[in-house]
Amino acid sequence: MRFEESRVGSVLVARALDGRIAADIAPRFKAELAEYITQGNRSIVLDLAGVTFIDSSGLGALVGSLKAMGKEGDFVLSGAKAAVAGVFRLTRMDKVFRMYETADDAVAALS
Amino acid sequence: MISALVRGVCDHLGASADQTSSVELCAVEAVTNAIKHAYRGIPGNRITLEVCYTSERLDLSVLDQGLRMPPEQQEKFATGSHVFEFDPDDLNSLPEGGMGLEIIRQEMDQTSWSEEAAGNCLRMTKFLLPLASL
Repeated sequence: MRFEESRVGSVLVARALDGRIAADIAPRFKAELAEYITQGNRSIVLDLAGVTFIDSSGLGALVGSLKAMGKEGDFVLSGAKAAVAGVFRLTRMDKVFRMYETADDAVAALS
Repeated sequence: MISALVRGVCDHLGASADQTSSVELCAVEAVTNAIKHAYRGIPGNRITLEVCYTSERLDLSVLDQGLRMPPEQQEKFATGSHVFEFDPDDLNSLPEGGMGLEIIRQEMDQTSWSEEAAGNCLRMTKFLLPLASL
């Protein structure tokens, strides 16, 4: 998984550059998100605007990242397309993750 | 590869975007399940994806010759698991795995798993027209 990173104040915006988050890349995806948290980032926006497909392995990696962040920080999502947002609804993960229309919206909410 | 095949068939059949996304997700989940559990992630094994369709329904079968699905998992796949009945506010209750089969069960209109002479077979069907019009 490749990310394009930017920072707005204390908020790290990581834009996923690969269009698919599935079982083949999920472990690496999770490890890279864990690295952001280990580095001390406590406000992370993961922008999924470029993602067209996510499966349960990808979802599991996101849940693992949310757990790694814990209650001490913010790990939020933005830009989920209809097909991706549908997987969150189906699994009730839309009740778990804070999801914003755009990365700018997410940054504004965390700032 | 699997996604491209399934999306191609769905496009050919004029399936809706939602139906196409569902079928794509379920096909990927079924194949991933076979890789992870039937073959324990060991490469070099065969998985067969069979696609049959009419204008009204799409039938997918995923066949493997690996380990059979444990009986308790078969039961959950037939009747439903509680994997999505977590407390959204309790981080520890959130699942990080074990979601694939329940996604298939919920998203497809008919599902089954059986042990056959040719191997383990997970079957799933999506009706492409509203049931009322069939």
